[in-house]
Amino acid sequence: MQLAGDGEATHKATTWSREWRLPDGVGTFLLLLPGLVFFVVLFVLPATTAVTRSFTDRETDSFSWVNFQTFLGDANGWGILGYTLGLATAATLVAALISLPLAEILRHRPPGNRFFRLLIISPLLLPGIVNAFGLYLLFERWGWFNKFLVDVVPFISTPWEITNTTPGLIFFYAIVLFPFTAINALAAMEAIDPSLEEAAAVSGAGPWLRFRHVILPGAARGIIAGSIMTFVMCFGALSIPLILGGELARNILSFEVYRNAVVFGKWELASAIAVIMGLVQLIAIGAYLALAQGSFARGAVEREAG
Amino acid sequence: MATVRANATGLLAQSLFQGRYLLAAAFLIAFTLLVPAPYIITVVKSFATIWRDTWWPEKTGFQAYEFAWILTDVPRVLGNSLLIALLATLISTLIALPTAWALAKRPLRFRLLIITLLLLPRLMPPLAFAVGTARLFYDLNLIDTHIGVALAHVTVLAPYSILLITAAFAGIDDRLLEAGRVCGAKGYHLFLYIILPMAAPGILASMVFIFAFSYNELELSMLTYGPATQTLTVEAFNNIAEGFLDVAAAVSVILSIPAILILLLLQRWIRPERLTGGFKGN
Repeated sequence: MQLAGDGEATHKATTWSREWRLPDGVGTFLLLLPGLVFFVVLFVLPATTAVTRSFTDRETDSFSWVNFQTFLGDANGWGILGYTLGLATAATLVAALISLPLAEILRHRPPGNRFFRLLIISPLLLPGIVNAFGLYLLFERWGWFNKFLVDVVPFISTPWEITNTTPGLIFFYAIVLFPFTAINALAAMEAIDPSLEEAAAVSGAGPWLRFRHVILPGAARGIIAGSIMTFVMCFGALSIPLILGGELARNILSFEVYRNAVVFGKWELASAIAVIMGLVQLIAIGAYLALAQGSFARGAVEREAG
Repeated sequence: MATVRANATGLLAQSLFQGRYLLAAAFLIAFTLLVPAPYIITVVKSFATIWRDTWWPEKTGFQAYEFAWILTDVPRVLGNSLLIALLATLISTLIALPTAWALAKRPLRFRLLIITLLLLPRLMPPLAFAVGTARLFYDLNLIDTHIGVALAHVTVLAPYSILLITAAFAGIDDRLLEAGRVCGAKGYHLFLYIILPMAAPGILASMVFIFAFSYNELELSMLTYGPATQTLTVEAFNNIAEGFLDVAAAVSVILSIPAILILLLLQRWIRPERLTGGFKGN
C-alpha cells in the first residue's frame, strides 16, 4: 500500500489521467452498490411485502392481527411451530451423528476416500426432489428396505411403517441434509495443525482421547457452522415433508405456507405464517450461536483454571 | 456420580475405537449403500412397467418415458430449466464480482455487518420471503417470465456467488497487483490481465455451482412459475403430487442427467466447504 502511494505521488506530475481519481471510500461504495441493491430489491422489499401483507385483513384490506390470530389460535399454529422446531432440531442432531464419524474416518484418507467425498457432496448438487422421491420409493411399504427386512432379516415378518412417521421424517431430513454438517466438519478437522495430534499421541493419548480432546474442540467452530446450515435447511425444506410426510406434512410450517399460498390462494395467511417462520429462524440462529459461544468460552475458562 | 458415568461412556467410546477399523468399514458400507440407493431405485422405477412387491420389476420398457414426453413436452421444459439457470448464474455473478472485490481487497468499515446482511437471504428459509417475492413480482409483471423466475433464484444464489468469488479474490497475492501497477497497468488492464486470469478457476467453479443450484431449485420456482416457465423440478413435483409415480420417475431421471454431469465435472476443483459454511465458519 505504502509503495503504491509513493508511486502515485511521483507519477502525478507526468500522467494527467492519474489526477482524476475517485476518493477510495466512494470507489468502495460503488463496488458494493450492486450487492446492496440486490439485497434491498430482492430480499428487503419481498420481506417487507410479506410483513405488510401478513398484517392485512383479506376482507377489509386494512391493518389487522387477524391472520396471526387465525394461525396461532384456530389453526393449531403453536403445535405446528413446536413440531417443526422439534423435527429440525432432532434432524440436525442425527445429521451430526452421521457426519462426525464420517468426517473422523475420512480425515485419515482411507482407501476410496475420493469416492466417499463425492458421495457426500452429491445430495447437494443433485435435485433434492429426486432424492426425496427416491427415498419414498426405497422406504415405502413395499420398497427395497422393507423387502430386505422381511426377506433377509430373521424374526421380522411384517414391513415397517417408515414414511409418514415422525422418526422416519427425522431420518429423511438428516439423510438428505447431512452434507452441510459433514463437509464443514471434515474441512474443520483437516484444518487442525497435525502437530497438535502428534503431540497428544506422543503423550500417550489413544485415538478416542485424541478425537475427544484435540479434534472435537479444534473443529467445533466448523461443526457448529455446518449444523446451523443443516438446521436452516431442515427448517425450510418443502419437498421432504411433501413427498415423505403424508398427513404429518400438515404439522410443518413450510408446508403450511405453501398450502395456504399455492393451493388455497390465502396469501395473507400464508404471509403471516412466513413471517413467523422468518422470526423463529432468526431467534433460533441467534440463540444457537450465543449458546455455542457461551459454552466454548466456559470450557476455555475451565481449562485455564484447571 | 457424574464422573462415574463420564468414565463409563469414555470406556465404551474407547472400546468402540479399539474395533475401529471394523466399525469404520461397516459405517462406510452402510453409507455407500444408502446415499446412492434413492437415485438407483428411481432409475429402476422409471423403466418398470409392472412392479409390485418383488425385488426387480416384472416387466420393463420405455413406457414411462413415452408418457413423460407426451404429458410434459420435455424439450421445452428442459429448455426453460436451462435458460432460467443460465440467466440466474449470469445475474448472480455480475452482482457478485464487484461486491466480492470490495469485500476481499478494499478496507471496509462495518465489514462483518455487510457480510452478514449479504448472506442473510441464505440463512432464511426461502418460503419465509418467497410469498413477498411472488406478490412483488406479480405487481411488476415478472411472474411467468424467465427473467422473473431467474431473479427469484438470484435471491438465494447471489450470497453463494459472493461468498465463493470473495474467496477467489482473497487468494490473489497483493504483490502481483503492485507489480502490475509498477509496470504501468491501469484499472481495466489490471483486471483483464492479472485479476481475471488468477481468479478464473474460482469464478468458473462458483458459476457451475450456482447453475446447478438454480437448476435444482423448487420452492421459489413454485411461487413464480407459470404455463410458459415450467421447469423440470416443478414438473417432477407436479407428477408426484398427482400420483403419476412412473412418469415422475422418468422426469426425475431426465432432470438428474445434467446435474450428474455437473457433479462429475466439479468434483475435481471445488472446495465444497466454502458453500456450506454458516457465517461463523471458514
